[in-house]
Amino acid sequence: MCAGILPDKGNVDDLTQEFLAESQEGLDRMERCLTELEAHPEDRSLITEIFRAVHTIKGTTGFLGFKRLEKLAHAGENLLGSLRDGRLLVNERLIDGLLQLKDGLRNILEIIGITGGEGTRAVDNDDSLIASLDRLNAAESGQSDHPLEARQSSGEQGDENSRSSAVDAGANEKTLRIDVDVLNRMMNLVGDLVLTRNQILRSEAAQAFPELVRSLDATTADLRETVMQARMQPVGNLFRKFPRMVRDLAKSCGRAVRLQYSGQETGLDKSLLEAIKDPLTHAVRNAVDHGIEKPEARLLAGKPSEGLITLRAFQQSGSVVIEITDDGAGIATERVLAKAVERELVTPEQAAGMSERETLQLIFLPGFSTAAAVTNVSGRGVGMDVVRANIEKVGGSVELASQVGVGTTLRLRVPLTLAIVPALVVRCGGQSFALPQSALVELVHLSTGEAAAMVESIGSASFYRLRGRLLPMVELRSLLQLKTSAPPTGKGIHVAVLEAEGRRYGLVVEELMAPEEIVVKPLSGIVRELGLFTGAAVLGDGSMALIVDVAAAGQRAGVKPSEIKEEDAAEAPVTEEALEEYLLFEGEGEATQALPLCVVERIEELARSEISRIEGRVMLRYRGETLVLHDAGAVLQQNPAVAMLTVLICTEPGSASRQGLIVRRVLDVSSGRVAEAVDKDQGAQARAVLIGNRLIALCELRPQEGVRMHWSEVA
Amino acid sequence: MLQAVVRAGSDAQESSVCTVGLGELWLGIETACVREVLGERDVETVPLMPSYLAGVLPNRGVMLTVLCLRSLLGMPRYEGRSSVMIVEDGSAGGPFGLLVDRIGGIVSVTDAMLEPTPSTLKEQSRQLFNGVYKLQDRLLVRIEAKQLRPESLSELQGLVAQ
Repeated sequence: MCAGILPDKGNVDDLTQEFLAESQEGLDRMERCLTELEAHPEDRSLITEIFRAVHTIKGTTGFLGFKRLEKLAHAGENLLGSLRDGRLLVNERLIDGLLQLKDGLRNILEIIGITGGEGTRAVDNDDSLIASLDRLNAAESGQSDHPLEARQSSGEQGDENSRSSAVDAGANEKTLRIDVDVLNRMMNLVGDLVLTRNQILRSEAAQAFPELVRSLDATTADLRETVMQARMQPVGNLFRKFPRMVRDLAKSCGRAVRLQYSGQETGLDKSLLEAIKDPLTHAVRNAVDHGIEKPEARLLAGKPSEGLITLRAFQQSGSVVIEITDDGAGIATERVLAKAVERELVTPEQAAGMSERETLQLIFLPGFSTAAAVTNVSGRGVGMDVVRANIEKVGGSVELASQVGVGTTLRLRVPLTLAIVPALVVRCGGQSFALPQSALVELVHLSTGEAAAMVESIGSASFYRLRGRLLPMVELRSLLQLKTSAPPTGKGIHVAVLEAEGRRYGLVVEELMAPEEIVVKPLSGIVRELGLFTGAAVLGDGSMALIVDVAAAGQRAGVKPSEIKEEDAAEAPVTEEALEEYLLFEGEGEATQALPLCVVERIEELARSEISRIEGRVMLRYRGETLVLHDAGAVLQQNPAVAMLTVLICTEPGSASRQGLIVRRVLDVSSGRVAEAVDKDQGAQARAVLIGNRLIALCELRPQEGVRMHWSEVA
Repeated sequence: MLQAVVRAGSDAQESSVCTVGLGELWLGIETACVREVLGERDVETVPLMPSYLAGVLPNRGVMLTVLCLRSLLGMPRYEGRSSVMIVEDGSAGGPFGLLVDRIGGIVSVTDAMLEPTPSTLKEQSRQLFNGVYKLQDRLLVRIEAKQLRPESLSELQGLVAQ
């Protein structure tokens, strides 16, 4: 049972509108069934489903008087009838013909949707299509060429899932199908809300008030959850469009590609689903065109001639991750660098000093495309930069990983909903502004002295040397021309390091407030046109904050999108190895130690009373789990009276368990690389990190036995 | 808040307007266009916007754009705390807010009481004024929600002093 909510359309009456929505859904279903049918030609239920879709269209058009549509649907129905009765066998030509039929029908439906009529132009003629359908119908089963054989892939999980869901109702672009149960629940909750309001209005006794507020609170929470749930759509609705696209694309560029998907039941807000549709389509196109090699090349490389593209969706800590993986040629970094130099995106000197990760990031620069030949599919230089911009616009992020000869994985990470985003609230010029956490890289506080020494100016632009890189500084006050008195001196400055669409800059603000989950309200026309704010939000204390569009603000301030700064390339040592980021801290005996930044989840300041000692181990109750703490800095032994502890919450990649590390002081984050083993006297291999020209002991985490440390003389 | 209840003299073509005050000036806007009277409110300023845009205000789940009527008419800033009235003209743009010094009451008027806007007024005011009602004790300037739409004001922008 479903209720369709339809948009207003000027030229089309309600009845036709409903018919259009229904027919589009029928055609969506038909499309899915057709791609399924190609893989399982023996499946009769699929043929029946397709027949039913076309038959319904034909039946209703006759009633509504759309002659052209009826004629085409009729020809299609005849062909499908023969197929259903077993007079024809499924083959590739037949599937092509049926796909054309589907496109033809969809085309007419679109014209009706826009004009209310079926189209009268010369091109609006289906005779040739009808003739080709008739020809297919006339072919006797015996004459038909190579009936398709069931593919080997039928056992795979992705295929099975998509098959069972292919017959489900799909979602139309502009309408939303809501389970009537959900709608009823919403109505009941609204009823409760009204009831509570009435009670509050009439209640005179103050003691009844807490009870009423509790009821109001519960109803509001339920209602919010129900509405969110109604907006959630399975990602599968999006995935289902891909089999057909991949099939056509693979054909036109001479590739053999199999598409497999999983996690299609993962829910995502409807507006987000729309927002990621184009980037995802682009990414899949790229995977077919650039990723998968030609069958001959694949055989030579010892891979099956048929390439595999996997779409995987899953939820991970409050966001939805969609991975597009291909088992193609991977991205050759030399070619990326050569192309980037050719396009003058980087200088040859810069290119020489770039790590693999930095090189892959170049692909996201505007005007970059690696396709050796420009095809009509992709390779026109508008590509990954648009993908990234679109994903970042909805507060998501894009990651790319690739291995030459093995394949490429593109990971799109998007929030569950657009309505509520985590943001950092800052103050400037007496007003509050919200910076989306997704664009926030780090926060830096500079004392007045540090600011004077480390903020350098070139002309009117000022820069801060952040770990050797020049970071352009943008003053929020002057960017927004806020009319206020001079900033309070003596307290230093707060810098929020932001990055969006490749623009990285430090935003200077007056005050940092708490991070908050804000409910985003879109702005109306004239304010939105300014383009600097994506919305506004009411904060927890009732005051308001404008949400800064980080990319647009950077652009307005003149920050250019660039992955590397010139200064950086000049200073960076030429190295073959990838540089990794390390967190530096003061450990035992005030010696500096390093920990790979990727294992550090959070840095917490905890009161000593929060930890307890159980059987000689130091334990901490942290966010519902029990962590073992390791006293790397020997803080507890040497300083039993200390009240506050700095604890690094660490997760070892590949293990689910967390552990804590008590340190004396967190010093900095720097990039460096693992140095060769220098001291083997202790039996175990001692490891150190080379940061700049300093050798720093690497602290290693061991999941079971705790921290094992090796370290060597500091050079 | 001043409650201005005024009896209309004639009974021909009676309509009601909601009055708002700007200093000495009283203006009337058709009651049908007034969605809600909010009273004294603080409006969140949006940087870099023309001065006639007072800012944004959350109301019933949406963020409304609020216009500063004083600034539109080239009047100096109000010293006290301004009030907000929410108006809509039935167009697709949705409702928007008007920032005024104070909100008066409902007044019944007739077409017979309406005179054309005096031509001696400043150009800026003449563009927004839509005639003047002669009430017994004072004049009431008629303004229309349609002409105040934030989107349609950009052409006026040149006239509004920053």
